[in-house]
Parts: sequence; C-alpha cells; structure tokens
Amino acid sequence: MRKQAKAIAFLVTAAVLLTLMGCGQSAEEQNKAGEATRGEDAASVQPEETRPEPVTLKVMVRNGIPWSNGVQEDPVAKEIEKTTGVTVDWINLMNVSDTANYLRTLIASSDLPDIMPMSDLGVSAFYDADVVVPMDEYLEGHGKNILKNAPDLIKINRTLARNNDGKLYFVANDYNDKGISLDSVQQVPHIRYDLYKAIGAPSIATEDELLAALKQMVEKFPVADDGKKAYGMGLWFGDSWAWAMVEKVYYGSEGWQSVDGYNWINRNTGYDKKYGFLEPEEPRYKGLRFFNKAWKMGLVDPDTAVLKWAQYMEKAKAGRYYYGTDPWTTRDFYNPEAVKNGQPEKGFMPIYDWAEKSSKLSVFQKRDAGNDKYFITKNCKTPERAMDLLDFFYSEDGVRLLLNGIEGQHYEIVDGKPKLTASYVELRNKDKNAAIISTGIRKYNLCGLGLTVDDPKYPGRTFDYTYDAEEAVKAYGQLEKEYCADQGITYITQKFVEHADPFYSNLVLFTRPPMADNFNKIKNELDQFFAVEFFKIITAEDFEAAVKSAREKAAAMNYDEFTELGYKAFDETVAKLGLTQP
Amino acid sequence: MRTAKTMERIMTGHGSSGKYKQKLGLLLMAFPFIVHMLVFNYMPLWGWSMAFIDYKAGVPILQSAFKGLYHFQQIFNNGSTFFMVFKNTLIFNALNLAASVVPVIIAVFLAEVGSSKFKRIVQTAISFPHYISWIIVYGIFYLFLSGEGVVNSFMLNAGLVENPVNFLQSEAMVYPLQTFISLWKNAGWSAIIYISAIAGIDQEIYEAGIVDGANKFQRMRYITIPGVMPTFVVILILNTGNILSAFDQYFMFFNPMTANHMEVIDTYAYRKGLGAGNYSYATAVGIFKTAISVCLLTVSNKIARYYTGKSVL
Repeated sequence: MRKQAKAIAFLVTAAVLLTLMGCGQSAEEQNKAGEATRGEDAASVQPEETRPEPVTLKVMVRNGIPWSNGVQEDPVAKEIEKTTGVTVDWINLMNVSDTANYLRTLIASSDLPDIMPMSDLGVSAFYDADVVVPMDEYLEGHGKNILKNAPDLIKINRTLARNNDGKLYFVANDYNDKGISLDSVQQVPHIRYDLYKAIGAPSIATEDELLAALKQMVEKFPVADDGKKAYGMGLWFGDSWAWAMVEKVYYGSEGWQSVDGYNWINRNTGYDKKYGFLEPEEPRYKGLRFFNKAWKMGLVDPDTAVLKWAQYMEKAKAGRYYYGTDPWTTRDFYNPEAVKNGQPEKGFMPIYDWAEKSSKLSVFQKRDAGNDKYFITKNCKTPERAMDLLDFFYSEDGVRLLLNGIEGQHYEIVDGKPKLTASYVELRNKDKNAAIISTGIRKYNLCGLGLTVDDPKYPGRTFDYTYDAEEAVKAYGQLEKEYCADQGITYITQKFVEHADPFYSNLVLFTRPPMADNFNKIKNELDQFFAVEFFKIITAEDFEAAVKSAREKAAAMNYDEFTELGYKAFDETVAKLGLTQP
Repeated sequence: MRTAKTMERIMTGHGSSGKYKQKLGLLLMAFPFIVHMLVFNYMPLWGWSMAFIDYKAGVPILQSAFKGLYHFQQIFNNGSTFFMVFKNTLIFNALNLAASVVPVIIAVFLAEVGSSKFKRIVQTAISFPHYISWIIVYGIFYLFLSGEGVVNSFMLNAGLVENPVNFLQSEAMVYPLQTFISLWKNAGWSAIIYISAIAGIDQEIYEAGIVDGANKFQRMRYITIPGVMPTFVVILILNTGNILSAFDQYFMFFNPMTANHMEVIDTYAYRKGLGAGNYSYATAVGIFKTAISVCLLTVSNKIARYYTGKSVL
C-alpha cells in the first residue's frame, strides 16, 4: 500500500513537472512542428521545380471581423501559398479585446509573429524593444513591386524614420487609397431613413434641424420594433471609450483631422491654425453641445452612463436609436437585422444635407503614407521570404487577389471589363461576413495598394472591382434603392464623393515618429478624464459652466503642455515632408 | 480498512520502515504543491524589480534604466487622486468586513431549520451567485436597476416615482449598493464555511442546553455563535489581509457618474499602469498595496489575539 502511495505521489509530481515543461515549449519549436507538417501540404500544390521552397510564416493582421487564427483554407489563402510558396499562419487581432496589452505581452515574451502591424500599439514600443528589422537591404532583391508601385510610401516612411536614420522600418497597406467606398461613408450622421421619410424628410443641414427631426421621429414613433421605448441616440459610457464618439458629429463633415488622437487641424483652416481644449470652434466642443442639447430634449437614452458597448449594440440592433455618427454604430447592426426580419424597407442611411454644408470632407484621405504599418520582426528566420510575401501584396496580381479573389471563380472578364460572378454576388449578398471568411476576399488587411487605385490592366477601373456603380448596386436592397432614387443618385456615397477633396489628413497620425515622454504621460491620464468630464458636460444644466470646469481641470493636468507637444511634433513632420497647406 | 491503517501509519510515522522514510513519502506528496507555490507565488516576485526601473516590454530588466524610488514618488505626486482611490478602497472593504457577519447570521439561522431538504435548497440557491462571473452579475443588476429596469418599471407603474431612478449612476447609492451586490454574490458561499463549523459543534452541548431549558434563540446566542466565533475570527483576519484587493466588481460597475467613488487601488493600477503600458508604475502601486496589506494583517491579528486569544499568525 505504501508503494502505491509513493507511486501516486510520483505520478502527481511527474504530471505537474511535465505540465510546467510543456508550458515552456518555445514558440519556435511549435512553429517548427507546424512548419514541418504544413510544408508537406504546400509541396502538393505546385510541381517541385517551379515551387519556391516552402516556408511557414506567422502573419498578424487586423480585419473588420473575427475569424479563427491559423492556416486558412479559403481560396485566397491557397492562392497566396501557391504563388509565393509561403504558408501563412494568420493571427487576427480582432480576436483579441485588449490588443495593446496583448502586443506588449508578445514583445516581452519574444513571441512575436514574423510580420505584424504597428498601429495598435504605436511605434515606440517596437523600437524600444528593438524588434523591428530594417527593410532596406531586402528591398532591391525582394521588394521590386513596392519600389515600383509605392515610391512615395518608401520616401515618406524613410523621411520619418526612427532617430532620423533614413531607414525603412515598415511598409503600410492601402497606399494611395481615398478611404471611402461607394456603399458606406464614415463619420457623417446616419439616421433611420424610413422614419425620416415618414416625418416628411425635412432639411437637416444644422444641428438644430437634426435634433428637431429626431424629436419628431421619436414623438411619432415612440417605441421600437421590440415594443420598447425608442430614443434619438445613445452612447456607451459604461465602457470608457465612448467619449471619442462625441467629436464625430462634426468630425468628418467639417474637414477635421486629429493630429495625435487629441489635437486638431482643419482642412479649411490649414495646418497653421491650432485649437485649444474645448475651444468653441473645435469638434469636441460642438459635439458636446449637440449631445447636451439632445439630452435636454430627452433624446438621449438615460442609461447612457452605464451602457456598455455590448448593451448599446443590442439596443441598436433592436432599432431603439434613430441616429448615430458612423455606420458601425447603427447601420451595420440594424439594417441586416431588419432584412432578416423581413423588413427590408427599414434602416439607416447617411444624411446628405449635412454633407452639402461643408465642401471639404475629412472622410477622404490621401494615404501616401499608407494605413496600418507592417514590419518584419526580429523573430523572423527568413526575412527575405517575409519581404517576398509583403512585396506580393504590392504587386498587381496580389492586390487583385486580396480585393477580388480568383479570376473565373469570384470575378470574370466580360467585354474586357472585370465583373463579379453571379455566384459570388449571391454568396456576398446572403451574408457578407460569411462570404469574407469563406472566400478570403478582403479577409487579410494587408493589401499594399488602396482599393481606389486604378488598375492598369483594366482602364477606368480601380483595383477594387466593386468600386464601380454598376457593381456596387448589385449589393443594394430595397432601402438602398429607395434612398438612391429619392436622392437622384446612382450609388449611396455619390454626393460625398462629389464633395471630396483628399488631403494629407491621416498622414501624421499614422506615420508620426515617437512622441515625447511627457506627452505620453499626460495622454495616459486623459481617457478617463474625458469619459468622466464629457458625460458631466452632456448632462449639465449649464453647458458653458460645465465646459469651463472641464477646461480648468484640464489646465491643472498640464493640458496646455500636452497640446503644445502634440502640435510641435505635427509641425516638425509637416516641415520634414515639405507639405504644402491643404 | 487496510488503506486507513496505512494512512494512519504514514500520518503518525509509526511504520515498520522508519519515521524518516514515511516523512519522505509525505514530502513527496507535498512536492508538486511546493513547486506550484514557488513557480506561481514566489518566482513572480522577481517582477517587483520592475518598480525600480523604467520597464519597457521587450527590454530585459537588467538592461533597463534604473529609476530608484521614482515610481513610488509618482504615487504620492498624484496625491489627491491616489488619496481618493485609497479612501474608496478602504471604505468599500470596511463595509465588506462589516457585512461579513451576514454569512454567519445566515449559517446560524440555517442550522436551526428543521427540514434538511429546505436547508439544502436554500443553501444551493444562496451560494449559486458565487459561481456567476462579474460581467453576468453586472448584466443582472443592469436588468433590475437601470432606468428601464424591473425596479424602475415597478415604481413607475405603481406611481411611486415620476421619473426613473438611476440607481447605478447615483453617487449617493454607490457604497451601500456595491456592498449589497458583493453580499448577494458572496454571502451564501461564505456561509458554507460557517455551516461546516456549526456542524462541528458537539451536539451534547445543545442537548445540555435543552435540558437546562434554553430556547432556540438562547441556544443560538450561547452555543452556536460562540462555537462559530473562532472560525469567524480566522476568516476575518484572512480577509483583512486581502482588504485592498478588489478589481472585477468595481471595474464592471464603474461609470462616469460614480467614477470618483468607484475607483479602487486595483482598478487604478490597471487604468494608469497596465492600461497605459506603464508597468513600472503599476508594479509600484502593487508593492505599496502589498505593504499596507501586510501591516493591516499583522495589526488585525494582534487585535484578534488581544481580544479573543485566537489568531492565525
């Protein structure tokens, strides 16, 4: 019996130790194991003599929707593997809720993938940890398409390089994109269009007109589809990031652009004009004034202070709000739900009169610096192959593949022009997200060239084959068709596109070199400060007094110094790049 | 039977193979747990070194810039904010400690219930919330207490109020409401320990009480409560050591209207430290919290020993 007890003790000990040892297996060993098995799969795709040596690379991307990490089986992933010889083991950042801490953990544990984006954490964290591989030595031999198709991208990113060393540390996707689709426009007010029509579609060119229209809508339709009380709008202050929505009432439509997430420039006043905290001209002040008026009119959901994003989403899905700033706060939830419930005539659409009040929209961005910054990490054992892979995403074939899928399967050439196949259109219209996951089209947010860049193979067409009025309307349902007919337009964003005047709006935000320590220190205090103060201002009886109080508190937090440092970095960047006024 | 005898020999060290070998057997059985404790409780203490350097993810600790007590100074440089956070933490935990008699009361009354079936049902029902995560707890209380919640619907329909009462946004209700929520979630679970302690009280004492003519309340007052008191003191002292640790509840119920009352040390360390990537500062706050906890534990242990003659240290 004693022997038995000892045996049990030994087994328990061994099990614990083995578990601990198992936890310690390095990512490299795991990669090697995966590489070996997946390498065999890759070998069966192409004949040995034409196939580049198979290799597996871990690549992190951030897509709009979550999908399972790992080697993907969709046609686009297979085609990437076939063409480049690289089996990609994908990591989708959308699966992670706290991306910043997740990325810091990966850095600290030396568990970074081979290629990854910087934008979720900022450049400093990666530079400080010395995990970024300069691309210069690989560019000539392995980056021919980047050199050919994105010259300004290289120039700008070298100009703003770390420590002014002139090296290229990253390439960024969406190069030269205008940042808009024919279907959807961000950062302009969206309204429940069917209800708006039901109250006679009054003009909405000012915030008072918008609020008056919402008041009428709520009075005429006081309950939502689920029989519960409806509101003009809601926010999710139960989660700390709702404060960032305040500025969006005016952000896109007046040509605003944040230079660092907190300070502003305006398309119409140029790079020189600077704005103080909650100055009456700046978009946060105006947004707060708008919400404060709405609160006093009883249009804001009274539970706004305690709503979390998930609860907000449920209410938005149930049609309990009639206004939102972006499609992703209203239209993207409610419209598909209405179609699913057999009510295709219901849904949100952008407000056109609002667009016409300003001639310079900041929804259009000249992305010479690209969007998400992708870099090769020092964990990568084959940087040349990583460069080859990135370069493929800047090639014409690679861009067509990522944006449109496989020729013959997802699109076909009819009369010399690319057309989406009927089967793909049907699949996409049935369930957009499911189509992305199963086809791989727009699944990998690594497309080097922007959607709206012209495709030289098909004159008059962009690389995105849905960026064509004829193709775009194929996705429209009853509401979208009615909307276009009412407005006398062919596609949803037509008037917005007509008002577009792209400028270097997001250049500094996305390309900016590391900021001063004191800037980051004050920035760390701001999110919670904004969340608390902004809600107090929204619900204040005396709006100006609440704003004044918030300004005084901001001053005590050295906000003036913060503003000064933010604008200083912006001015330096503008000077370095020799940008002219917008 | 053989197993029981063998275990007895092992436990008492009276075996034929000698005392030393049997102790070794015990030691072997304890070994995995010692390893576990070393790996997960002591090794992480190396991370405290982050409080004295300017830690950046990916830069080895020994290569990081030494900052001495800078991050500790920062805690006090943020004086008014940190004082507010510290005060909130103490208030919440003092309230929770005061409320820790509730599980004792539940257990004492439950012990007097005659029907064992009813007792089991009540016990299961009140301990169930312990297994619910805080995010679900938030959802439940949101359903009941939000402007559109069950409570407000009832009050509006009954004409008790003209406008909904925002319980979750009310600064005046923060402390009592959060204490109640904590109690709702944990009281039933905590009562289990006291129910076990009551079960261990010698039944002959109760029988003697009955013979002496003690009624139910007198038996509770003079037998059950004194019988459960040693367990209560131990739990109270252990909880005092944990007094400054609280995260999930206050993180979940945090909102702009109650922010000045809901921020406690753990949520503060998360928001200012981990949330912003300032690990060194977060570690300094953590060390400060531990130091205070150790002081509180020692003091409460001494007080308990002075008044009751019982302690855990």
